[in-house]
Amino acid sequence: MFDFLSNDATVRVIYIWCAALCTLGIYSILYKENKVYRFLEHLFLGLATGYTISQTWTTILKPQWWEPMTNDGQWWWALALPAGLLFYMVFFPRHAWMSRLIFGFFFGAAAGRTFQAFAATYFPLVKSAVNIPLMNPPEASMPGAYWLTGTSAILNNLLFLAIVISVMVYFFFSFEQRHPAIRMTSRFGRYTLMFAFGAIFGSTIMARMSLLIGRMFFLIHDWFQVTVLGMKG
Amino acid sequence: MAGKNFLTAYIKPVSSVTTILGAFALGLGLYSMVSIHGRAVAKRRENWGFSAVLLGAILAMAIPAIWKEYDKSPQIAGFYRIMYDGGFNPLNATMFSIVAFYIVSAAYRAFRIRTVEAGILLMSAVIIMIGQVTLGQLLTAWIPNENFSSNFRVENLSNWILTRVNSPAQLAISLGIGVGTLATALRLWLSLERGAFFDEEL
Amino acid sequence: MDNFLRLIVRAQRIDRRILYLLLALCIAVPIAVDVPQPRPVVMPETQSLYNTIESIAKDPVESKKLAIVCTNYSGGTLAENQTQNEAIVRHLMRLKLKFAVFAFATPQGRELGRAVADKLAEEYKYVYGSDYVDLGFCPPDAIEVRLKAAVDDLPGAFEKDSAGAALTSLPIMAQVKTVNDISLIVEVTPSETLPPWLQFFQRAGEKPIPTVYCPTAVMGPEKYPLLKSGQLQGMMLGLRGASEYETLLGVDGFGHRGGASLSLSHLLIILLILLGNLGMFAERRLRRQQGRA
Repeated sequence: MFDFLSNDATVRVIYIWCAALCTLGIYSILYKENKVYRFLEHLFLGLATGYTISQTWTTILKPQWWEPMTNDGQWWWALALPAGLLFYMVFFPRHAWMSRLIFGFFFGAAAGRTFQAFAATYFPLVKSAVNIPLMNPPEASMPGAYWLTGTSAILNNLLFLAIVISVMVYFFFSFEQRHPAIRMTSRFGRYTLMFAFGAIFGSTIMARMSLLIGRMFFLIHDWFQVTVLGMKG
Repeated sequence: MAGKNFLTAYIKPVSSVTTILGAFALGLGLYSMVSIHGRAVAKRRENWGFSAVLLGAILAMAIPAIWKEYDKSPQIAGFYRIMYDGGFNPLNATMFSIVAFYIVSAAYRAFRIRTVEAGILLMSAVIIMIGQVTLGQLLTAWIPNENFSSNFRVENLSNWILTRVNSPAQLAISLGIGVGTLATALRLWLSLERGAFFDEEL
Repeated sequence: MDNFLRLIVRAQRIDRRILYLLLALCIAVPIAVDVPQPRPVVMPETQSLYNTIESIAKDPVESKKLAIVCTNYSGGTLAENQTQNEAIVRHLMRLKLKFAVFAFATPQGRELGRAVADKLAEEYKYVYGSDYVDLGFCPPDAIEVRLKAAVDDLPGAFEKDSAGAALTSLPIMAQVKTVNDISLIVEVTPSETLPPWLQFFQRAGEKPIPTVYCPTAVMGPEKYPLLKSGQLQGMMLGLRGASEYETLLGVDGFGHRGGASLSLSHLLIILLILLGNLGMFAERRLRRQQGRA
């Protein structure tokens, strides 16, 4: 009865039609709220949860815990089960203290890693921020340089320093910013932050449009042109 | 190589233990989801049908995905393919893509230049947006891409904003975040942290 | 003039579904009609990414090492990340560089990354186990410890590939023992998954490993300081970056095909922002005139 599922071409047609119907069903919310969208929304949540469960078993627990424990004789992995079940003690008020043991382990590990993480991430960043030439920039002697290259490189570097300092001054909330010089610096920092947020906004638009283009390409090309009309892919 | 010490030999076993214990934590979210929707189905609450769909979808995805590891029959693989490529993937992608429509609506109704800051933000956004698409780049393609004039090509202007203005601002923000994260980690380590999880009875 | 202003103000109350339809048309028409369009200008960060991989291929020592392609994306960002992943893997395969697929943010990332590698392997005659390998999935809360363990013993830290085969049994892993045998880190992601590589792996060996970043466009601007500090050697920003990379590779992929739709949709957004603000100014002016009258 289910032999059609072993035919690759048939399965492909089925899943493309399912994908198209799911896509159009989700887009129906743009017209107005409806039950089809709610159905697909709950379907998606269920499928995502089911996928996570299956992947947790097949990619982590089965190869790294179950098989070493049952096939390779590493019996000590059996102790991981009561340790892992400690998480679930949080649902029992009388025994909830046991969950703190394992949560504390993960919190402490994360806190410990932060020190190495901080040094590895921020030391090169700070070094690059202060190690900028304000005289004889290397750009002036690179191929393609012209008479203004050196000056513009120095101005850009000065601007870089000014922006870093002014944005950090803007975020100093530990004391009241009363002095006019500090207030001016802070305001300059705020304006340059607006440039940064504008850059993020412009990039976000491109990201979201790209995702929509992907879906529309599927609907128009993969589903309608190739599957429905039978055009060449 | 990074400095070794007497604890270095234990990194690998700790890595394996952390991986497996982390995987066991999946059930926390799963229990919450199943209990809420399971109760809705059992008590026939409003829209309980959708909760039943959710619970059914969990089984419809999890069972074939795990089963195909043990049974290599093409029917199981085909069914999984339909659930994955016909259901999960397109729904996932479509949910993300729907935000684009809301951005269009917000762009028309909500983005107003009422202050200097909003004006700077939108001006920067417009330059970045024009600079990153081919039609926008065509607008200034006639300007020679050498010497001083190249600064007025929109893609170079967009790149200047990203590397000379955005970059130092992001650097300053991330330095502040980094110091804050370090301070929080230190407070955690020295048991100075207060809050719901740390000193209140559960 | 007043009639024009009243028209602009009335247009502010346009049904949002008409705006949705406009956007859908801006995107659908170039896809349906396949409009020819110019190649994009290649940005310095994309060129730098390309040059990094080219220089690894030209180095007799580095070209024998293993590149790690970390595909931390899911089906939600296929349009951007999958296109980037295909471009990078195509480049690696074209230069006959060995690589490993890995993921730690979402298990789907490993599956998607592996699917891209398998699809292109047919074209470039790549053999699994000899030319590329799948290092499986690691949960996100264990990645830092896993990378720390991999610094001194990479096959021991990852142990098995996604099919359960011991890594030490695969020919590709014969010369890969520690972090010093890694030539390149490629991170393809829509989320904040770059830090573990920079913090625990990149500089743990004798010399820093070149690291390149392929984020969705929204993540790009905040990583520019890493380009300046030398922690990143290149960046491919979203679909635009993928289109530029396809230009450098000389292929016509999805990045290029989506370019016209991207352009029109951006121009639509800019137009709507301008019209919206025009409406605001028109409303203010009309209110001032009514106040005076």
